[in-house]
Amino acid sequence: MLAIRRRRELSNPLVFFVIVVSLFPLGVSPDQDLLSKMAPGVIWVTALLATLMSMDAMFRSDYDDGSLEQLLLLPGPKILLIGAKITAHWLSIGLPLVILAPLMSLLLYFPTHAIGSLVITLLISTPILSLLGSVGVALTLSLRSGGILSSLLILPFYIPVLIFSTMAINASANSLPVSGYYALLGAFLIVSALLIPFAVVAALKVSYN
Amino acid sequence: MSESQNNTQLTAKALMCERGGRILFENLEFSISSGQAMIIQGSNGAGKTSLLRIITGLSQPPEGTVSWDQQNIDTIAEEFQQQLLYIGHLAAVKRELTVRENLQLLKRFWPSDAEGSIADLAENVGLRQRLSVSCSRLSAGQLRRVSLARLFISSQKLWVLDEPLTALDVDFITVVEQCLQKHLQSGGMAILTTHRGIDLGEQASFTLDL
Repeated sequence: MLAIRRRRELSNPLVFFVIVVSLFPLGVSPDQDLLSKMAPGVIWVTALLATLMSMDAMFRSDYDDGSLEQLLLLPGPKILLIGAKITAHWLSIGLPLVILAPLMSLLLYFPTHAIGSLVITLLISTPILSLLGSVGVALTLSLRSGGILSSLLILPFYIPVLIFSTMAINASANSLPVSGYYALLGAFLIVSALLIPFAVVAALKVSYN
Repeated sequence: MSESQNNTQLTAKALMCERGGRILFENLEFSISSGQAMIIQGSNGAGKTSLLRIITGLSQPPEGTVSWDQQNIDTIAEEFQQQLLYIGHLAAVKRELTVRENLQLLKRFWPSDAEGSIADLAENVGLRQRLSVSCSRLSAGQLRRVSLARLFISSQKLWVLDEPLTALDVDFITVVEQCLQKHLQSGGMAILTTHRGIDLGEQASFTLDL
């Protein structure tokens, strides 16, 4: 049942990610020192915004064409269904970001020995972003201008993830120990993966009431 | 199945619904048993769709209960959903996919004992020639046909249909009527809203005015 949901949506957020990152050296300055200092922040902020942009797509089209109510009326645990939706979202946005990021980092003179930590933080954190975002989207589904409101709702929760991820990359660029940051991000991921699907099911019920 | 055939009942007690501070209906009571259909009539905004959503359990009524076999549908949600087929006024058809893919999705999500291939199913709803057309290029009536295809493979006992006849042509309305009659004769139940008359036989159906 989980693999059935096929998606043919174009990944605008990924294009956005590529464009913004590649515009930075043109807009700011091609100076190597400056760029390599900014690189972790730029890549992370752009990745975060790209994810945020894509959040609305997670439930919106299903809500609009009525498939979501059909899915909610299917017999069987709703948690699995929501888990599948979130996983699908991560596979279509998060995973491509993880793959693109090391390539884009070359444009910004990203410190080469820190690329590993960039990939690892993205790998741990993009699922967290998808999970957190799904709650915001589910809560604001029934509102017409839900897109903006859900961004405002989600963004504060994204900030800790951003801070810890960029700190981890900076630490690794300076050859400091990073396992503490990974552990924290990992803990975020586990807690949110366990709890958030329940919150999303509840939020969808609220949206439909 | 056969032992519960006669005593299955859907009962609503003291249902109340309000939208935007206005009470749409209060103290609404009805009960439907096997082989019966209830046709809900009422002007626009009378609360027909709201009532259907309450019956399916999608939204909770502020007051009152809906029960299936004397049990509240919230407490037996799993069992109830196995017996429920709901087609809302939104088609739930994925426009990016072709007719064939949409029908395949229907069959995957609602497995049934009904024999037959996707092509047969498309034949039922008169879309055999359109199988590989993307649903974004179908007309409103054709989209409705795709979503009504579920009626032909349904093994669920309770059908809840919101304006099933909208945008359909006269011929296909007859097909849907026949399908509903067959469903009722085999012990099913149906609740539907419609603005136009539908003929399901005198004894089998009654009307609820909102």
